[in-house]
Amino acid sequence: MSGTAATAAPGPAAAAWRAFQLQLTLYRHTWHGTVFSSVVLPLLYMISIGIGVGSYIESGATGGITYAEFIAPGLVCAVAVMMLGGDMVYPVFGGYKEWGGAYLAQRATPLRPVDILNGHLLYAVAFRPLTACTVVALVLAGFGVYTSAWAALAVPAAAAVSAAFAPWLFAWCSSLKNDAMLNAVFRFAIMPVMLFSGVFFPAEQMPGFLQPLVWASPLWHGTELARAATAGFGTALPPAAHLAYLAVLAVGGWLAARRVIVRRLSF
Amino acid sequence: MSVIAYGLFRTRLGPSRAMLSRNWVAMRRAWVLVASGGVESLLFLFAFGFGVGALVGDITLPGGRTISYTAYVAPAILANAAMMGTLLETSINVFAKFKWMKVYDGVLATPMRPWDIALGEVWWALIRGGVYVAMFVIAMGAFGLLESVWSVLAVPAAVFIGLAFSGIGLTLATVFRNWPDFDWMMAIVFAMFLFGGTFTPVESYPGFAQPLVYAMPLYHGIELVRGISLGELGPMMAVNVLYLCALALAGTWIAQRRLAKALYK
Amino acid sequence: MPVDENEILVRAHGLRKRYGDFEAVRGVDFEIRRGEAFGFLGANGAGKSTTMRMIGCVSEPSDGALDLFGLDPHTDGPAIRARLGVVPQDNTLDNMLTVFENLTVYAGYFGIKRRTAARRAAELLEFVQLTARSRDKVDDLSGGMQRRLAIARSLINEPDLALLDEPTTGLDPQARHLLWERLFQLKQRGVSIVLTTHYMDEAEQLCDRLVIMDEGRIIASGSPRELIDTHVTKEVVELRYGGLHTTDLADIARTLDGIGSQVEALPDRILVYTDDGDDTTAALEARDVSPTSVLARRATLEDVFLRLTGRALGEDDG
Repeated sequence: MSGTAATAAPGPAAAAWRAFQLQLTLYRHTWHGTVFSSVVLPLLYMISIGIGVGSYIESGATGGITYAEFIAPGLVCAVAVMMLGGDMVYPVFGGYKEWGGAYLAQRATPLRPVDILNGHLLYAVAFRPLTACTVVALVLAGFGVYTSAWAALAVPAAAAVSAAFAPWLFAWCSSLKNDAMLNAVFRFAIMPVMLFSGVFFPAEQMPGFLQPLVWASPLWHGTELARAATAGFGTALPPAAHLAYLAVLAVGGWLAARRVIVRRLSF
Repeated sequence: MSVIAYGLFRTRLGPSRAMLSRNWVAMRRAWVLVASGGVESLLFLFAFGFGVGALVGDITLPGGRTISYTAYVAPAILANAAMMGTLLETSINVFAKFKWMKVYDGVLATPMRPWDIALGEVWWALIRGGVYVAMFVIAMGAFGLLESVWSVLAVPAAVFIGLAFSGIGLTLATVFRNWPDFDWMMAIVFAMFLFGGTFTPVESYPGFAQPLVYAMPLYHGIELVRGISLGELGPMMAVNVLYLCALALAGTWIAQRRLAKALYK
Repeated sequence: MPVDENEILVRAHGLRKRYGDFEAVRGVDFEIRRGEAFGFLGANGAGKSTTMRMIGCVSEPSDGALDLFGLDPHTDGPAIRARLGVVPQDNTLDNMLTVFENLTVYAGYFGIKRRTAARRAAELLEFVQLTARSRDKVDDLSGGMQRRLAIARSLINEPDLALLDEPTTGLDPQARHLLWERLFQLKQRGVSIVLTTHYMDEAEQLCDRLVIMDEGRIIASGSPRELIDTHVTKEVVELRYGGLHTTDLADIARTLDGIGSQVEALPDRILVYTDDGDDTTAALEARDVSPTSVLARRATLEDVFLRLTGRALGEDDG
């Protein structure tokens, strides 16, 4: 950050950085509460499903690798989605509330609505996945589920999934009137994406009429990329196509989210 | 039932109906949202029962019988649905009514007693849990998982699970101080879901973990529902039922004591 | 039903309430009769609300005897509460319900049949002038409306005794007057009322009989008129000195010996208690004390409270 006087209107990057600082400060108070959902829970999934159920699964069913090896890369990406459930649902909805709404408070400063959006996204799609998914990926290494160093690419894949998914959640939760609807976000967006994106079983098993939903899911594209890097599988589409889809989703989501936050914070 | 017993029944349980009807009036505008909670269990059934189940194929039970993995997991997820429906209702919603909305402060100014409040909340939670269970059983039927009449008997078995977790949830609602406490509850619930014998037989767990599993209320619920829906009855089921009933009674009793202590100040 | 004017509804003797080391109510005696409006007057923290909670049978007395309708709260709580109508300080309305549902659901807690409940709810909403709002959520109502709803709710079981804890605290003057009007009508209908307040004017307007509480004790009791006659003179002359400090006022007060029956220096003014305000005003003019303003007025309960506790009512006990 440059040392210019605080009174000058900040550029977009500097402004987003300032908005990000708020999220980071909040995180310092609550990080221990997030450890369970972002680190412990994926490990429990690995033990219970990956190893426990995996012991009943023959490697032929998962392309010649063990079931634990099969789910590990997708699990790293799924952590990004689980974390969005914590970072992009209640905090976004509450951001507009009179009781301590973070966005309202930031709006009273030189920050513009788009800066507030960028700051929160910076936190949710860069900081969080790059830290928590790295930890999860490292701990999973202890289960001996990687065969090559390329497995590290699961972490940027997770961040890409986050970038493609987060702005849409942001836009949705920003337009909700009633907090009871927040449960619907989990029920009808986060959980289905988590469970039906080819993380726990190959997506081709899904009935044909549901396949388009799988293709739409950012987590499926991320999991394809991560699994290709980790296990040396081919991806369903050329890797560039997966990346392009995630990029389109991210940009489109960002535009949608910007529209909503500008509308909500203009008075 | 004798007239006296019926009269006693009415005076003991009558007032709790008023609490039940309050919840119905309050929630009837949002019933779609409440009922859609049952969808979560269906998602788990599709993902793990059918998705992962297709990878596993058949599973051999400790007794030597071989069944499809889907048929093995489905009763456990049914038990989970009964747990989630009643636990969420009695813990989080009761907490909000108790600490934030001060609903019970108003109720206690009437002839209602803490015991009536606690019971009324249990009835309401059972209804919500029942909706989840019913949705699940219908889905099981639609996907051909109801192999015998035994499967339908799993529904009354789920009532024991609902009672037990109503008691636990009510007690937690009076013990918890703020929202992060509920995150911990959900963490434990998830751990029970993953390790309570849902996905693999407890006999396959390492020896040190098995006693822990036997202590989990959900484990007993799963054993009960699974045993009935697979038509494998055994004496251990009496233990399961007793354990769940004990939790229900103890939880509800502790909760009404604590409500009385907090509100009759 | 023939009203027995002397029937005693509530009888308390040596009533105490302790919270750990703190004693909120320190042995109070009172009797509340059918048909009267009975008030507990006192500053915040005097023990009024705690006493109300004990009368409402939602707080167990630590010591002493309490009897309502000839029943013992310890064993017959539900039966007693069935005959009470309670308006707590914070309303405790159910904000997940509409205005109308707040009444009908509450009626359910008394075991009142649905049809009866709906009829009474409609009548009561009419009485508190909320009929037009019956389908609204509670959160959409103003403070005064919420309080009126709470009063309507307390009447749903046609109580023998209504308990109102600081019914007008926090309301704007217009809302207060509307509420007083309704409470007055309630009295006329023959409903027995117990209320707590720290507003003198409220106590004077509404209460037939009242007790003044201070630090958990009853320090005086009687009708508003009796209290004034017993504890203060008929009239009071107030002297104000813009800008002077408390110590200066005390000095001036000392020079006023022999005027009126008693002189008291407060932080902001000097009070001269007297039975003849005009006489005293003349006498004051004769002494060269030159106040910025002089006001002769009738003595009020505020003066009684001041004489008895040495504090103004607005001041907290700390």
